[in-house]
Formats: sequence, C-alpha cells, structure tokens
Amino acid sequence: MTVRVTSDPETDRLLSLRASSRIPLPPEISLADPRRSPRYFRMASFYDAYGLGEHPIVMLLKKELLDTMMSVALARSEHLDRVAHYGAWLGNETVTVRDLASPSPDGTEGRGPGPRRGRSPFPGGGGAGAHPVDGEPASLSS
Amino acid sequence: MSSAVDYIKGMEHGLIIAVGSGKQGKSCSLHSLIALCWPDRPIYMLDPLMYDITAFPGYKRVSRTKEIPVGAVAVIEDVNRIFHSRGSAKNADIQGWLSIISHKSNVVCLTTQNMADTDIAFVRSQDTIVLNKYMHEEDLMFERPEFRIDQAVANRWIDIADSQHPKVDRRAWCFFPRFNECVAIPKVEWWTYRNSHMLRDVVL
Repeated sequence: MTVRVTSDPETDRLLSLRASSRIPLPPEISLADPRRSPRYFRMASFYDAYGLGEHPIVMLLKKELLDTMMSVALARSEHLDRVAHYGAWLGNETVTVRDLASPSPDGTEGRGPGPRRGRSPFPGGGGAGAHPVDGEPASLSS
Repeated sequence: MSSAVDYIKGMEHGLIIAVGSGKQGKSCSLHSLIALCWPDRPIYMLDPLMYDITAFPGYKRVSRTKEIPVGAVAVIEDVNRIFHSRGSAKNADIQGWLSIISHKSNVVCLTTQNMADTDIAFVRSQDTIVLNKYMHEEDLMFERPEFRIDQAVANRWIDIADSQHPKVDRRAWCFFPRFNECVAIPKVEWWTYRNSHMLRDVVL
C-alpha cells in the first residue's frame, strides 16, 4: 500500500527525523499533539518510577489521555497530515522482501524466506500494454 | 518470483526510474533488470555525449530520441545531465517523445540521483515504475515531496533487507513502492568497473 498525502514542513521534518532514526519511536509521538504529549509522558514516567506503569488504573488513565490526544489531533486539520504519515508508515509494514540474487537449491528463486509479512496488494504479471499487438516485433515477448 | 519483476516483464511500453544517491547500484540494478526482463529487446543508450559503450554487450548509442526504433528499450544514464528539472520550460521535446512511446512500444529506463533535479515530464504521461535505491538522508531532505515518503520507506526496508540477507550485496536491493516489494536484483554477469564508471572520461 502506498499512501500519498499533502505534507507540510513540520511533518516532513518529523518524518525525516523518524526515518533517519535507528531507534523505533512509540506511536504516541506520531499521534500526539506535541503540546499535549509532555503531560502524557510525565505521567507515564511518574507511575513507571513507582513500578505502577502496568497497573490497570494507570493503564486506563494512559488510554484516556491518549484517546483525548488523538481526538484533539484528529480535530486539528494541520495535524491530520501527521496521522496520515503514521498510517502510511503502518501500511508499509506489509512490504515483501525478495532475494533474487542468491540462487536457491532448486534454482527457482532466491534463498530468501519469502514474504516477510502480508501480501502485495497488486497482482503480478502484465504491465502496461502487456497484451501483444498485431504487427509488433517478436522480440517484445519475454 | 516477484510481483514487480513479473509486471515489468510484461511491460510493452512505460518508464522505469531508478533513483538513489550516487554509487548505490542504480545503473547496475537497472541494466540487470533489463537483462532479466527483456533479454531479446534491442537496447539503446540515449546520450548526446560520446563515450565508449563496448562494455555493454549488444547495446547501441544514439544521441536523439527519433533514432530509437520501435520496440526498443531506451536507457538514459544520469538523466539530470540531459533532461533536468529546469529544462521543461525551454524544450518540449521530451514531452513530445514520451507521449508517443506507447505507440512505439518503447520502454524508457533512466537513472537519477534525485527526482528534484529531474524533468518531471517523465512521470506525467506513461506507466511509470519507480525503483528506489538507498538515498542518503541529506539528499532525502531535498527530494520532491511527492517521492520523499516512498524514498524514506525504501531506505528503511533496504536496511531491513540488508540485515536479513547479509551475504547479498547491499547495492542489489531495490524498493518498488507501487508493489511494496524490496527485491535483490541479480547482477548481470558482464557488469564490471568499466560499466559503473562509463562516464569517467566524458568532458561536460
């Protein structure tokens, strides 16, 4: 899946930071309004320090805050871009890795493990104008 | 095999654009892909500059688009030298040619280091398959916004594929955004240092 969205400089900056980072960032950073997220992370750190980060009430509190942040984010038009970016990022988790460079023992395909996860949404075969046209050179057929 | 490679094999006309920073294997992967997908089609290097193409077996060199015959594959190396992003307003030849490659059954294959420097006419008129190679982060900051997300995702997946297959040359990995595939293209057997430095003696 490829998602294209209209972007803005701030979103591009955040995406570049995320793309260039080798450290996976939590989704809250992408989804949360930057003006609200410090409160969320301060609260999470406070309870984590006391070993209560996984307590059901604290989890409920975190969820409430996250839901609020996401609601606010979705209500703000300029913030939609950031959410869309994250959606595109999640969508691309279905990328397939194919190793055609290394011959497999049976000689049919690379030694790669095959599809990493999910499937490509596009069927293979038949590019633009794939159907042969009368009178075309025979060399066109592959 | 691969959805992307299977689709490209079936292309009678269209464009393949290999984009990525310098020395990331764009040309090697593109010529290897051509050899893999269309072993019998005539291949023409389109370039107004004179240089030796004997390192490319079976290739011919032409300097004008009208010299490319019906059914051929046209390759433009480092397209920003010839059809750069500032050229559209001055010269409409490229639009005219691209609009009829579907009639002439031509596939145009080109390499570029950044779409921001490439004549955008290439992606406006025909079936265009983008093949992303790794792009350095500094270069990525100046990529066109329409292509930046795909390139950022390509960088990430090339890293992942490289870590999953450490024995495969990192420069073999190509990301096809349309197919959501990261594919290691097998290097064509005749590829040497001369091929990857074909423009070394060119005087601009």
